[in-house]
Amino acid sequence: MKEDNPGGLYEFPNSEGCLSDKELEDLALTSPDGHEIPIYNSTRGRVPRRKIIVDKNQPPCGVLVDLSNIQELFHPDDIIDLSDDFSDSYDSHLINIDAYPLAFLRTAGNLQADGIPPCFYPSLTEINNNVRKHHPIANLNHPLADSDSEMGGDGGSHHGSANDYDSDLDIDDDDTTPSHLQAVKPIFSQFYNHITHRVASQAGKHDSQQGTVTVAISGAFANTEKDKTTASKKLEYCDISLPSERFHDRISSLDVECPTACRAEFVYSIDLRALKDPSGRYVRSFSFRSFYLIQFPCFPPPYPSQIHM
Amino acid sequence: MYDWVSYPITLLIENIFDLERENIKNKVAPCPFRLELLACLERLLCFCHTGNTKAFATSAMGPLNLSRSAVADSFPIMSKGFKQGNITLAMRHGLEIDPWKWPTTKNRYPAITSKRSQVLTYSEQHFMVCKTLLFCISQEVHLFTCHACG
Repeated sequence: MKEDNPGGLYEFPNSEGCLSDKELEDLALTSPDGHEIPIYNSTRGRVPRRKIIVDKNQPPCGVLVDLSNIQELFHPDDIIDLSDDFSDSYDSHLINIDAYPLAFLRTAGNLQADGIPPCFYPSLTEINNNVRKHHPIANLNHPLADSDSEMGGDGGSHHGSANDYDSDLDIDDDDTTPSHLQAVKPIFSQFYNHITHRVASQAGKHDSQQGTVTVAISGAFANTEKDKTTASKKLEYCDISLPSERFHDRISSLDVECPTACRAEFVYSIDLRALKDPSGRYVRSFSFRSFYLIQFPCFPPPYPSQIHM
Repeated sequence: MYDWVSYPITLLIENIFDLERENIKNKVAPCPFRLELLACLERLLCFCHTGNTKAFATSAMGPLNLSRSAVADSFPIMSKGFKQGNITLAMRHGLEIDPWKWPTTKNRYPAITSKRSQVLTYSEQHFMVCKTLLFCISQEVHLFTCHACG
């Protein structure tokens, strides 16, 4: 019997007979009361009787951030190499990360950080180099030179201003030094699933954040007419649909395609004092390059259109 | 996915709501302990949807193991708080909470989780009505037990 049934034999309770592993497929899945008939192997492990069927017509699951090793995104091992070349953008402070695991998954969800991943530093440095003001290096042999005129002198001062240097002197790039001010500085970033915008119109307005059911039931203790009216409205609200049901309707609406993309938003501070020209074509150039930053790495369209400043 | 992972929580919320809704229709005051449990479950659901641990009211949810289990094991459980042995039996018998099993603060008062929602929606005075009722029931149980013990 063992040779004929290499997959093993499964014995009924009370020794009513036995079945081979192939005959198990013909056994009823559930009992008359609807519960699955369990089957155990010799090691007391339960034999799975249901198979997963993937419906390819269903939309893909939403994208969440893997939180299990999220520190690596902001503090990679090779950050030392980055810091040498992109010292302007590299900030040695430890980036604080707030993780928000969703659906009890623990290792997947959204996150916020008070910095951006170092992989964006090269682009940020390039932007800074293009838009940042450069100051002429003081030349003691020049008749208009003065060691204290790095930032430009007062109006009417015999020291002259930086603009005078630009217009009166033929200054090469080698004669300038970049401003110590950082024109574009990253200050914040967040990664979240785009569906967040559907379930809440603004922060703190999520259906499950309001405590609606508690408020509705506690309205039974209302004493004033105003509170009784409020309680009545809350009860009607819950009678129609509980917050969990409303949340389900929002994310599973068939009218509008449910967004599933992971969205990244970076926030920068711009120091206008460090810009070559606070108005005009350099600002437009910066806006274009910042949009390029947000697009990298590639996320599924639509790309985020707003730039948070 | 949200429906699957939060099903036990939403099921319990629905049961409590249906039970208390019926009480309200019959002019019976809601049980303050069930109200606090309802607040705990709503906070747990909020954590499920938002991932923000600030939703936890640890004074009550900690001893009930609702918050600890959700964060540590990603599977919320609840310590025995009903008069019946398990939640299934409790759902069949009116979800009666044992006041002795309800978490207490350092001052030995029943832990409260519904204060913020009540104060923001109604008023501080409204919340004090529910709080006083909760404390009175707790004191009655304590005095009854002491008297029974002699």
